[in-house]
Amino acid sequence: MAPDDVLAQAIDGIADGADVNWRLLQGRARSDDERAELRWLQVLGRIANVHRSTHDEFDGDASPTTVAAPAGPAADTLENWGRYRLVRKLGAGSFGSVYCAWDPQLERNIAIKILHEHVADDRLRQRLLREGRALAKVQHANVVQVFGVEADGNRVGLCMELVSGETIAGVLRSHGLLSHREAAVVGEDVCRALAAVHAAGYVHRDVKAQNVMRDKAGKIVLMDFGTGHDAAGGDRRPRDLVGTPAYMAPEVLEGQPASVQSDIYAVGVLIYHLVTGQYPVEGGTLLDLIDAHKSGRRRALLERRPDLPMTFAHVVSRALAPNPAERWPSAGAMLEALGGLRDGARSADTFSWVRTALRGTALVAGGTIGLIALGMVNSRYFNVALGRETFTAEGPGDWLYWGAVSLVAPVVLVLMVLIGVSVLRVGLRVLLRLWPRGVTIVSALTDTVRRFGLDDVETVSACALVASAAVLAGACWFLLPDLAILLELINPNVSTAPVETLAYLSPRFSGRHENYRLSFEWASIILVALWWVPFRMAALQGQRLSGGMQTAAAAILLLTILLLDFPYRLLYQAELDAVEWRGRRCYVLGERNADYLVFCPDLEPPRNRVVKKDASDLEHVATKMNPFGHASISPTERP
Amino acid sequence: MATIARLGSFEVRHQGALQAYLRTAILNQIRDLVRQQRRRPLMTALHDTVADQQPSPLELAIGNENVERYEAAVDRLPQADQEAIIGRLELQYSYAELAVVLGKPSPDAARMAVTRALKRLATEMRHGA
Repeated sequence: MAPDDVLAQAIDGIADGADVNWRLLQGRARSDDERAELRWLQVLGRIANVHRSTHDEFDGDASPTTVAAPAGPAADTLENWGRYRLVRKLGAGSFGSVYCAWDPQLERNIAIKILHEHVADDRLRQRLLREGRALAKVQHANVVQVFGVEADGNRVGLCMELVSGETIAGVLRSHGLLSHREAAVVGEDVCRALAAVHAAGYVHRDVKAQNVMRDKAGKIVLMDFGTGHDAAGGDRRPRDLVGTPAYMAPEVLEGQPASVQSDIYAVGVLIYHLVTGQYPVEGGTLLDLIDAHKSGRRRALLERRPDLPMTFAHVVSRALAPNPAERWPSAGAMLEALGGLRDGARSADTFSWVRTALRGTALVAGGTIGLIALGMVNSRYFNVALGRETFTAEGPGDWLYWGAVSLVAPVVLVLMVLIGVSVLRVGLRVLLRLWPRGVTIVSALTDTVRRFGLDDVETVSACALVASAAVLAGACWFLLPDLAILLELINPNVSTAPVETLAYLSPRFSGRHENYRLSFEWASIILVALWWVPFRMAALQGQRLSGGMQTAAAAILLLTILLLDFPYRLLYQAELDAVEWRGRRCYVLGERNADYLVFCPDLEPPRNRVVKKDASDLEHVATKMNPFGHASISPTERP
Repeated sequence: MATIARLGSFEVRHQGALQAYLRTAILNQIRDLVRQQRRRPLMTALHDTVADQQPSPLELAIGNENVERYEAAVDRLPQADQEAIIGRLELQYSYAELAVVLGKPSPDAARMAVTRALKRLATEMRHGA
């Protein structure tokens, strides 16, 4: 490259990171083309310098610092600003300072945000003007009020309402975590402010604890609209990363423009932070944070605070949904949801006894009806199997009794599962404390679960549904011979059933009966355990299973209970009054008016006969006996 | 750093394998940056605020319009030139490091790649006006 090749010299200087005398090179340029090229090379040189200074910052400092614009002059002090007397500086940034100022005309204190003198960039002035215009359009009690934008010399300042109080971040530092009620109240006011901001066509873009003030009267005020922008996109730069990373919605971190939904996400983060002191997604650097969002590394609110009400957790979780379309559609909708929590709590305080009474009544009534229905199914099978439907007089009381009896076993099974799960969880916690390497294994398992999408409630519910259908089908397949016989017994009834079928009911085959019960008891235990997982996950994430899944779970569990219980009475409680009729041992199935319906095992089918109660050839035997233990229906061959 | 952390599981199969592994990992990082926001500060510690409410240092230095023109011009460069520009200007790799990343035989060759890429970039920026 020729020594007087100015372009080559400039390029070499940029590439080597050397100082380039641009003025000299411009003077030596031989054509307009060269001068134009040099101008762009100068821009590239400045780009390289900025990145070099950034890296020098990191290299020279043990703790990486926030990359901020260069600080202004140390002695940038003002005493007056136009007609205002500047009382004290409230805060300072790289481009401007905020002052408490006295307005002698209106005789009140206001806040003024003034750009530093050295900042002559017209874009920053425009930015301040933009903030002023945005605030001027939003007139709301929860939004800081702007009085005007004024220039003094070559400086521009924004005159605003002075809010005396502290930021919510300061409240958190001084008073500790907020209760969920307090956090909901803050969230409501921020949502009111945002609703007004969004209605004016703006997006805030930097909702965070530091930008929410609580004045001395307790009013919440949303501040700092410097990052706000016109939601219609006037000056929107989609790839601008502006805001506070911990509060940024995942789509904004990915480069999408900020939106109403990203502001709602930020409110969700704010409330989460107020009750936990932490953030739902955390990372040591910006790249870590983006990676955490992509790989779904987030902590549900109920994981950090399991004591919080599910309704509250649900409102916050919905605001934090990774998919913007799944969040609250507007600040107003989130406001209503938060207000519903407060109203629910208030009415609970006032009319709690009414609510409790109503709930209790509904529970008792529903439970009674359910038990009666269960008892009806149980009794129906028993009566049809014996062929005695028209000779019984069972009523709701009897069905209630049989329903309660039917429910004993399932309730005991559910309790066993819950106790077992609790014991396992305690045992796991103890094990992890004693065996630290186990934590690594558990983390690896958790990552694997996430990788396969098994941290999604609907996915896990679907897996539970498929697994429980398989378990139930497997149990039925394994017990197919027994199920076939039990169904044959009600087709039509014991009066005409083959002896070999009746033999199944005899005590000789009690082993088969026990096997039947045990199989369905284990199936019930497995099904309860399977469905515990998605219900627990949903509770932790502040969600509910879909209606379809809940119905499917209930149907499968109900079917299992019915299969467990419906032959119970026939197999274990068929003890009937014994009589002697025409020299044969018979058993009274029921009575109607002046007649008995008796079952005589020794007769050829039909074995059921109607006999007059006062028949001379009928003699009562003072015992209750199992009619199917009779010798004639206990052949040596198995059914 | 993430690359170095994974070195514990790296098996050296042949001479130069480690270099090739590092090169690929770093090139992937550069390509990720090309796809994302190049003006974003790198390895920024996550205090509460990044970039606060002010323009980025780059915007402040050269203006937003020039930043956008720079990005658009880099997008139009061939892949190898993009990697040279970003590796040298933004990531501030030395020529020796850049030679490894770009697969050049020597630091001088890497320097030559950077100067050629700069020349093309300046032309692209000028024609993007």
